Amino acid sequence: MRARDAGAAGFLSAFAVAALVGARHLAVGTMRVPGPGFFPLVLASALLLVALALLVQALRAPRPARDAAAPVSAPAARLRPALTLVALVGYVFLMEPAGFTLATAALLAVLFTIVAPSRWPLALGGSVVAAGAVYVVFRLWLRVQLPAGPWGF
Amino acid sequence: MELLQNVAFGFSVVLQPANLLACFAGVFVGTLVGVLPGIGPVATMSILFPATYAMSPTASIIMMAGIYYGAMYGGSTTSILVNIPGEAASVVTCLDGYQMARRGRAGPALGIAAFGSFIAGTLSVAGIMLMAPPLARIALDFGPPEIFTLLLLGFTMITYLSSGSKLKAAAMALLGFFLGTVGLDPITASPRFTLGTVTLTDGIGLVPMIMGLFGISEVLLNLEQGADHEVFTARIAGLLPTREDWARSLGPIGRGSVLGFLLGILPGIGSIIPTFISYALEKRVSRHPERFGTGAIEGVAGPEAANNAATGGAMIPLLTLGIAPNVVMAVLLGAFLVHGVQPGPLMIKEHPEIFWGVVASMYVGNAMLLVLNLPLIGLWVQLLRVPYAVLFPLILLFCVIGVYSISGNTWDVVLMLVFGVVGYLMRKFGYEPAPLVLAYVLGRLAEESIRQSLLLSRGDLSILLSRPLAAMFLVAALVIAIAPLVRPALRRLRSAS
Repeated sequence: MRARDAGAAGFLSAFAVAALVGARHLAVGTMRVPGPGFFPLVLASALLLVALALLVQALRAPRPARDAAAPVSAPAARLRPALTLVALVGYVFLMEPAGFTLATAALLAVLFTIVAPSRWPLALGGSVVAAGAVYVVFRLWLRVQLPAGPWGF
Repeated sequence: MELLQNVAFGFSVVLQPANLLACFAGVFVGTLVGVLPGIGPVATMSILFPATYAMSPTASIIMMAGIYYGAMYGGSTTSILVNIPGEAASVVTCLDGYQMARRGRAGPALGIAAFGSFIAGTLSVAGIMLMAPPLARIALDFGPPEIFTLLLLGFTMITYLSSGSKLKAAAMALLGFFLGTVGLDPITASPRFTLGTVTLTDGIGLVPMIMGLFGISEVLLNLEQGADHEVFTARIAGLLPTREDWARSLGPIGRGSVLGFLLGILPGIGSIIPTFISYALEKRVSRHPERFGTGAIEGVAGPEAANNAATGGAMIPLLTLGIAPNVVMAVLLGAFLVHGVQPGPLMIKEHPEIFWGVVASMYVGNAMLLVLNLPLIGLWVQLLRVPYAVLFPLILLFCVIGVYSISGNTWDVVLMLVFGVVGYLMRKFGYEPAPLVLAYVLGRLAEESIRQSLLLSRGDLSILLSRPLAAMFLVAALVIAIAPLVRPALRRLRSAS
């Protein structure tokens, strides 16, 4: 059994079941006059079949001795995507109350230091300059709509 | 004669200053993102999507198309100098391009990649000019059954041609189709799977989905695996290939161009597969196949021509049928629709300035790329030396700006991050995002056409077999779908006997 593949297939199967339940709540109609639920029902059923086939395939596959093909990354490296995501989620909710430029400078400072923590003074300076440059290019030049915040920038 | 008049009209459109500037901006930015690993043409086109709102439809499509074929040019530079593909379609170029660079022949490798791309791009533009108008006339006879079966054929091909597990690709295509049903029903306008929110009433946004699946997930993976790399630092001199280089490259460029163009037309192929086929073909026809992998210029010329020609081929189904054969074309289709232009058989008649303008711009753009690429190699090399620690925050920031600026809705950014995590996990578990996105984009058209077909035939599915073209597409789709199941059985039978 391959636990990773089985887990992914199991998740897909659960999604397909949820989709099937959701589609059943819509008017399916008939073959002559298919309703809004017709296509989703067909798709969810097909997805469930394929997901179950993937599950069976994963369960029947021999367990790999040690997955040599998948390189195991260091714990610090594995932490980087998670930290980046947390910073991005924080940024999204900070953008409107704090304004684009300030929030962007904060985001960039955090992201710059995630990979090279020892060079934080440079990261701080670089993030302020970069946030200002991005504001000039996107807001003032390309006239892209960006959250203004209490300071207007 | 009419063709020449149309071509002249196309050039008069593209030579207008605004369109010329859009063309330049497109190919320049395209080359830039092609050079930079980790950000491809799909994400870039999505980022620049909102910036095209203020432009005319012709200028914006010219710019978007420029990004696509510009990226094909740029990708080869990174493959040759760094041995990692700047763009997925340049993977094969690493094999011999980097070896040439190691032997002090980086210049001719870059030169032949640029010239080969230019020749292939030019030939593929000629191909579009000759083939698109008659195909559009045929496409006028397409009804819902033909469209549905053609889409079905496209999806079976995407699944069949996927590099990993076919079952996983099929699952992703079905998931993409399903996600496409979120929002208002196209026929009755009743809400489906909107979870009671207003944000989902219009469906899941294409841009947040693409940026998440391709942009954010790529960055997250690179952060985990470490994406910094050594740039080939030796001085690059003599970009012009020698006479012998030309003699060895002309055949591969010609074959790569024809192969890339014809394969690019087919749904699901994209520009990656033609490069692999071109490389294999050149190795087979070569008198010295043992030289491949050690710095054979044919191994650079053929695939580079093929990936550029494929971009031209892929324009044909989009412009004549309104069907996107790959993900990049799906974004381009989105750009057409945003500007109120429906690509399809009537486009040549209704919007000749867009059709002929875009086609002529591809020729002008290819010429610009040749002029631009050779002198700017030094700049691209400098760019490759920018550390990833500096690059990735900016890529993420551009993704956020790109998505936010479309609707001004932070929930779209959240949606992008969700797709970013989904894409990251998908790649880790061996699921490809491309079938999902392509199915998502074309899902609505597929649903409309099958439901219209059933309404037309009063619920009789045999309508898909009673019309010759539809029947042909359906049979082809079935053959492709059954092939992976039949082949192992045949092999077993053969080994048993």
